[in-house]
Amino acid sequence: MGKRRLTSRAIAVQNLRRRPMRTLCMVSFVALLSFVVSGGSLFSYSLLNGARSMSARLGADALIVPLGYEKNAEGALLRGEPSTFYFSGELSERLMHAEGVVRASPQLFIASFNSSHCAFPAQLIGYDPRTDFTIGPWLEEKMPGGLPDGEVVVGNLVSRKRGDDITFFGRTYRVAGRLDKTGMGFDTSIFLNMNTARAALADYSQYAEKPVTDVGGAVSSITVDIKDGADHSKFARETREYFKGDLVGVVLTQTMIDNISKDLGAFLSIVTVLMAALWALDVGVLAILFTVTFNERRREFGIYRVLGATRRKLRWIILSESCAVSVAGAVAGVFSLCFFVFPFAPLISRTIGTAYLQPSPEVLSVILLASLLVSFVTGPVASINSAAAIGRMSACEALKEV
Amino acid sequence: MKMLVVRGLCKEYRRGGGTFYAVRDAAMSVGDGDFVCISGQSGGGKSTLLNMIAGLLEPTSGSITSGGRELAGMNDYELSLYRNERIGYIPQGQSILPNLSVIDNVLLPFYLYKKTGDPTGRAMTLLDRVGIAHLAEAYPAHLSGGELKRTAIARSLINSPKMLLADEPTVDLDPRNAEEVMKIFSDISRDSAAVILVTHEANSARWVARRFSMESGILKETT
Repeated sequence: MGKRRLTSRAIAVQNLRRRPMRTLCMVSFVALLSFVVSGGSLFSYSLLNGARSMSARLGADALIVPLGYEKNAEGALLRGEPSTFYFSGELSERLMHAEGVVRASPQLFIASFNSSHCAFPAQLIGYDPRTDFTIGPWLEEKMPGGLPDGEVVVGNLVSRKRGDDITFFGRTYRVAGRLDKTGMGFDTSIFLNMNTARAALADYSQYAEKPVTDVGGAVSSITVDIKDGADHSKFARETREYFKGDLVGVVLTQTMIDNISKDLGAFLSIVTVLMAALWALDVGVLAILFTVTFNERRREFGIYRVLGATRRKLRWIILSESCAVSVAGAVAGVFSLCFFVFPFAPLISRTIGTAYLQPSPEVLSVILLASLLVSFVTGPVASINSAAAIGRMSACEALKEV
Repeated sequence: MKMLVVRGLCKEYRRGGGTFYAVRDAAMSVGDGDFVCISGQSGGGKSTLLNMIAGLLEPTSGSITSGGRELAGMNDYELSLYRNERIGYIPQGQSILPNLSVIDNVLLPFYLYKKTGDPTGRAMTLLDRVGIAHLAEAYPAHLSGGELKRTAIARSLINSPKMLLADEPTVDLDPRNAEEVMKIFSDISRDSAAVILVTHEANSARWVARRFSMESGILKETT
């Protein structure tokens, strides 16, 4: 027979083990709270992180695109939704010198096909290294010296590494590098310089139902920096008006980010309120469970008193039980989060349709630790009433109960 | 020095607008090795008296001295320590903790305060003495009434108390088990611990050296 030591903790654990259904029920409540708090916090932080990343990555005041393709441009940038649209080279030349523009650079968007001559459906983004001021600077971090013709750089979620080959429209390209995670559509996109992009567009044209008429000059969007101090909305309005006959649309990036931030703010408020409500609900439910359990066990606690347990000792037993429930629940909740949420982050990102960037391991640790702490205090807070009732309990009265 | 001295002990309750005396001016003294029985009808105040002696209930007036120390004025810690170290108390009815095994129930009083020694060995010896050593790892749900009572007796002895208090220890037991339990108490008193037994059963009283009766809160020594 092994040596035993019946500490408050050991007694509490034994009490919980001998009532598995009741314990499971209480642990599940805390686990649910832990899952929602850690998941909600992670989700909120990732959205904010995504918005910050997007703001940093877009780097231009406006995108000028063919009229009617504004949403396609947003979809390509935010969610990586493959899309092909363009206007003529002649129009793009005029747009680059429009009133109010201080800096402009063309980009070419080509959607690959789900067919044997393409590796997979993706958004190919061609940029002009001579004029580019949005993609080039952060591509430069990975590719000092620029991207050579015939090579591509892939987004973080594309399953290719440096040195791999990748085929689009029957042509094979070498992967020159892979970008850091952005939480945006860039993570699933393929980047090429304008020469390579024009070659890809020519290949695309051969397979497309409707061939491209101006392969050499076609441009999908023009990234634009507007003159300092100018009213961006006025610029958009006047550009649309000036190029009315050419069917031009303007996407203001700040407006796009503001709209997302506004939606995000409302969403985060809801998440925060829901987390607080769930915490209060959890405390309430656990408090009821502890109170009911305490009333059921009054005689048991009376016996502890008879045997010489102080009121303080009984409070420790109650608190040890609630702490054990909280620890088990909090860990189970966070473990579930790690098991279910992290592997599905790319899916979540695609489903919610906006920039979603999980935090760094350091920030993640802080979020998980904070969630563990919030969940952990739930049990002790919920058991305060029961622990206090112990102090008021008459052992003689308790012993009379069957 | 007497093990227990009770003087002018009263416990009154307010009931139905009047005063009800559960115990009225009780007095008794108990020495080492005394085997005392307090008998009487249910509701006569026996359990109330026992609870006051155990420090579980505060008297309205009077004094209880155990081992030279007055219980009145002791704080919760001192009273709890007194119950744990100086007395062994067997409450009325089933008093074994359902979530602990038999051996853990017996060991529990030892671990409530810091002590030295080999509690497991002593617990096994006590279980052997009451005849249920083979049930050490069993849980209360699987024990009969007699086995539960024996567990409670073993538990009450784990800290080698100077005084054993037993409230109706043979109620609900069949005659053979009741006889065996009374024999254990008799043996304990011979080991120099005072035993105070409360019962309403006349049969139990024949084992003891000193008898008290209690009716309507009034305690009288009958032998």
